[in-house]
Amino acid sequence: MIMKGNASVLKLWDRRQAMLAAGAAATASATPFPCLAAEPATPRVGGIAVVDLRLFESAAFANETVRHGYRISRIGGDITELWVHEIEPSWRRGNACVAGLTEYGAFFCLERLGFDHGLRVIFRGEHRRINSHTALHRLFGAERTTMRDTLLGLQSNDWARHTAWVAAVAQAAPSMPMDFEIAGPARADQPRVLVSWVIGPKRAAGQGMPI
Amino acid sequence: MKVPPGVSAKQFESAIAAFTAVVGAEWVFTSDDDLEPYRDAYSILWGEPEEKIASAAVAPLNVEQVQTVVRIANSNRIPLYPISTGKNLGYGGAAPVLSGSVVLDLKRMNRILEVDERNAYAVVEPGVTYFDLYRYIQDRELNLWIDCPDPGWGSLIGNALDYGGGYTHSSYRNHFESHCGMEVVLANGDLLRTGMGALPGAKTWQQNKYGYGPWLDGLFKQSSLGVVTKMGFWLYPAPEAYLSGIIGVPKKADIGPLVDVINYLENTVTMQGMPVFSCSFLPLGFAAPPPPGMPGYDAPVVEQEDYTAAHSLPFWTVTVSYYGAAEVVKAQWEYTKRKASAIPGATFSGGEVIAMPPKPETLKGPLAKSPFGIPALSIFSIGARSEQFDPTDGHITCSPIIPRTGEDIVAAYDLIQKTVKRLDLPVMILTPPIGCWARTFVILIMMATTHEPEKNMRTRASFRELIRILAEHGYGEYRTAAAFQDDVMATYSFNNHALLRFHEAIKDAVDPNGILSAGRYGVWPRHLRKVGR
Repeated sequence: MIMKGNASVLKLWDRRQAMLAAGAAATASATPFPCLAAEPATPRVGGIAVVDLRLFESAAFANETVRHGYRISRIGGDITELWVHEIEPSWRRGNACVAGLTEYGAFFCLERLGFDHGLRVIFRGEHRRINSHTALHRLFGAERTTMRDTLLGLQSNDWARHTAWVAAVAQAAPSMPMDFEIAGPARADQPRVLVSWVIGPKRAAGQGMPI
Repeated sequence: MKVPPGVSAKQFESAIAAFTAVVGAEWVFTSDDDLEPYRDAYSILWGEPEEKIASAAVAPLNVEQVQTVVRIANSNRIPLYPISTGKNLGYGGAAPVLSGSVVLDLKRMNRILEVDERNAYAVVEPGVTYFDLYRYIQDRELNLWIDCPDPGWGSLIGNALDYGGGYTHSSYRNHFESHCGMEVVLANGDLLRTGMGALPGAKTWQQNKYGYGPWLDGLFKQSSLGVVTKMGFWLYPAPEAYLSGIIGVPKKADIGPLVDVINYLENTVTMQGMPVFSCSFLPLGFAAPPPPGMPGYDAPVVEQEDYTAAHSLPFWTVTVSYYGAAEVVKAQWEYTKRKASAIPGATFSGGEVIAMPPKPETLKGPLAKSPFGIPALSIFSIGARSEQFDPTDGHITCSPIIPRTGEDIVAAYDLIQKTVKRLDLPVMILTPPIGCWARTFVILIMMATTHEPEKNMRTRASFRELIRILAEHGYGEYRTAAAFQDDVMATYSFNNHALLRFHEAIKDAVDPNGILSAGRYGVWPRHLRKVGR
């Protein structure tokens, strides 16, 4: 039988830790991006945000998406229940956007299942921890996010929340012309690879996104 | 626009226009963006000129549309590659074996046509997934189980036709063998029903597999001879209880008698669940070193047995399971213990009866739902795309079939270990011997694929060598990724490849223009026999 390997490989966040992380981010939301000179516009796009309760970064990302009109759904790595009870019925009814910052497995499943419903990945970021304190971010998304704001945000400790904002902007104007890589800080126990993503209906650039 | 091999741009455009007239513009895909889902996400040829890429995809809604699309393809010599939902990851996904083929995507044909509770069967179309059928049964509170693989997002028909397996009762784990009756669109657009289905108004299409005359269903397993548009499946009447226990044995040589006991129990249907063997010295894959002080798999047996004795560990274990009435499964477990007690030092644990349906806490964790026929996606939180493996681009699987003897388990793992080390293959997971089908084991040797062509090239060369070496020792693969299907077929070479020659004779007879699934499982149509390979 295939068993999960050494549990220490996956640094588990318990629910309390994750909620504390989300709460801390919420408290800070009055000044969401102190690294930036001015607060960026907040597009309200809507959809389902997937938060992996084991991951600090996932909670921070999801918390930020609330400001953009998302409702949060929780997983602990495995997306089966979320898929069966929320996302599949939602996609069956229409074309709700789903976003998250998760491990690759959750993203990969939803990307493939989204294809079956005629959906596409309209924003994707890869956040690869390259040592105990540095992550390499590579984002693919809409060009409406200004390069300066994006770069500053990703170089902050609050990069996960910033990525959620970039994702929301990308969702509002999905065209995926942006593709760049930049290094920023990482927590030592951040998983080796995280993916931020938005899956939604394909639309021509600038057409906007149905909520 | 990519054009199929041997087809002019004008001819292809005309065929695409004809497909569009049949299924509607919304369901014909030709742009790179729309064809991205039809790439094999795990491809060992990723980004190379040889990567298997579709030229277009067409998604019909019903059998009549399939017939018309096939007729158009046949008259225009357009190669078609039918898929059900394209979730055959590790073995090719949705990508065609012949690059440039038009994918015939059957996912819109997702109707559950019938579920008969009294006779315990279902009739489904190719786009029906395990999740769909499970939900259908639950919504109607039918007293039936399905048997599903993990992940359970694929198609019943697709999985059965590729010879997939599941995790519940032995009568249902072999998904091809548990089917009963097919409907198939042939290369000329003709419609065939097999078994009792050939009798107009038949009342037993899903109850008698064989009908009258030669049984044809096997021709459509791993096949390029038709497009299966309906299949019947036997379902498992929900059992009342489940019991699982673990047998441990202390010596390396005990695996022989242990497998013999399990075979006896299984072949007499005393035990119906899937036996899951494990070895203390055979952790997942070779990459992870053994814990400090623990001998490795290739350490001397004396050292290993000293270690297990000192730590009160079994050398081998097998998890056994039973389905049925509580009093029956309890008796079967007691009988199992009596039979296995003949092995000196055998230990037994577990044996708790679980009433069905299982409680939520029983279903937590990866692969926990599978023994109860509940589809899941949890495998992705521990598999190729998870945190545990680097790189995370995907995997291919070498899947040799091994005899059901302890001696062959030891011999096969010795051979695999030696060969994998010598060839420096990027093994991510080496499974224990899997007993999902009766009478044999299958071992899955899962190797990483990347988006780096040089690494993939090296892996391909070594993978081919592994296929050859395993075959030399009598271990044939049952299924493989598109890049290796010719290599595996080449190993089934008895009497100057009589099997392949017969496949080709049938192919030429029923699909003379060679439009269906060219190259699938190593069978090429006449006009591509030289260039295709």
